[in-house]
Amino acid sequence: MIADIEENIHKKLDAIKKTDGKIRAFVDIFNDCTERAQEIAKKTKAGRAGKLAGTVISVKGNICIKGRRATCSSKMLENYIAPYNATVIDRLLAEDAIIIGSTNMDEFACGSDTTSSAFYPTRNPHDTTRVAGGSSGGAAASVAAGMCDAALGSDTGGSVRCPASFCGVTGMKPTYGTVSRYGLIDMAMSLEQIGAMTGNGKDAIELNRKTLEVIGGPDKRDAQCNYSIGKMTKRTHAKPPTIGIINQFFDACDKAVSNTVMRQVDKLGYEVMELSLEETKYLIPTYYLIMCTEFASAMQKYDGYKYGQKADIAKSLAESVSEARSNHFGKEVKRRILLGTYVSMKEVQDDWYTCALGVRKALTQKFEKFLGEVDLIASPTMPTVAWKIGEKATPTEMYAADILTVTANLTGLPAISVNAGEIGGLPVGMQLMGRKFEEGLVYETAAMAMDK
Amino acid sequence: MGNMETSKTFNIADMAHIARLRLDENEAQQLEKDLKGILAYFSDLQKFNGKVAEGKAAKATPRKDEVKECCVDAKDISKLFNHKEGGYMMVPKSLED
Repeated sequence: MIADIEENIHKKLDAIKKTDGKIRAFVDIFNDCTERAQEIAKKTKAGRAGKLAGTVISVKGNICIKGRRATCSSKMLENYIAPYNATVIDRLLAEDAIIIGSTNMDEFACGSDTTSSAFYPTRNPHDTTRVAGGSSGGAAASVAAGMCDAALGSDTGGSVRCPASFCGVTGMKPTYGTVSRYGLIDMAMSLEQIGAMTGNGKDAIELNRKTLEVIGGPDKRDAQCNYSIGKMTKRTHAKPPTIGIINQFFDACDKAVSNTVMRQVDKLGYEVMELSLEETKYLIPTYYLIMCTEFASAMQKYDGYKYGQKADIAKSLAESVSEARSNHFGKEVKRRILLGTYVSMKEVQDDWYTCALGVRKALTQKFEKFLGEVDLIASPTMPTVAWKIGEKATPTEMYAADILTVTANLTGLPAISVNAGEIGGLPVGMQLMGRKFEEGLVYETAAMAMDK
Repeated sequence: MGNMETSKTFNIADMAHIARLRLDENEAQQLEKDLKGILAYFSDLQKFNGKVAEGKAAKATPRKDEVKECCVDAKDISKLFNHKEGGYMMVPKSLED
């Protein structure tokens, strides 16, 4: 509960004024948020305010807010004004949240550090020479720098959890199918979910749970979103959970990161069971082949006619479409479109795309088995702390950093990243992955870790 | 399929044409190098394919194409489609149920 709604919005706007010139978390700030705070303060006094009354929330630039730009941090959508609200926005507004602005991201969510934004990179509030993580880097940085109480991000392969880890905040990727994607500008439909990011500590975890309760639940405008959120965010287990540790996940990390997270797991004091995932080395290829195939398909609509920056109609149709796409997509977007186009071609798809679908199926079965033996799987969220801006030289170096987060997307499982400590002043995230629809246990265990 | 075969079948100009991207010579060279590197990195996946056959997904069957008399007038083309939505003509599902 926000004690003084008008004071809260002024504090957040002051924080933006003081720090966002350096951090660059936002693409747009909404000028009418102080008026909305006044209205909500009146409703609160009258005892009519919603569950998130006065909570200041930033929204990733790929989620549609009526009358505002939804740029996806791309030149292609630089001037696109959303004509409708995403379901998550309608639900936040109905509960009296205040949306303060739209945040920077990797272009069309293609990246793990928000340096592929067509506008500018977002910097890490803990060290501005380092990345904020991605693709929801602006969202995480806006929370970490005190510019809002919570943020909405989208997570296709770790895009909420990676920046949460790097910026030392809480980030939840809910079970696939629990939060509507209506109004989310799609990247890879079988993998992505909208999730909330909140600060560090028990209160922040509680706010995250509350936000999921508000944004989640069935929506007839998203055919995959059929699941009630009701009891899901509350714990249903009576006895202490057993925590699974996948040895290969810890081996893939910097030693200091593994040690920091393992200490946090030990502090929980629960039974720990070691697990082995020999398929760990296949996770990155499997994820990228499926994601790029879906991404290439999703990007086809940007033709300069129906969607995207206008094509030059004086040229032939093929020429004008190619020109519009080439001039307005960035390098990483082009790379992923080309990769997805190739691996889904009839001549080679059995060797790449179909093969990846097979591995995805086998991984899903494997994790169902794991989560029959343990209640949660703990690991570092990222193999390293936040890297320096420009440090990742090749695409494969960047892709490899997603090794610990992509499993939750490939299998549809819920996963949270919470702060587990610091190394040299830089935050380290711990990831807790649970059974489908058991966000309650995930949240509760994350909150327990904050007590230790 | 390993990296050697990938190098034979992956052609940046063909891919750019299919994906409706116009690349200048430098951009094409750089992207070709990147993508061949990525495919080589991903080629480990082929090993999994051989090892755990039961994990392989069921293959979807594409629907058969139906050839219809065509025309050049947009209104006549539009008449060939029973379902339309938001300025789009809805085509039959790509995969058989």
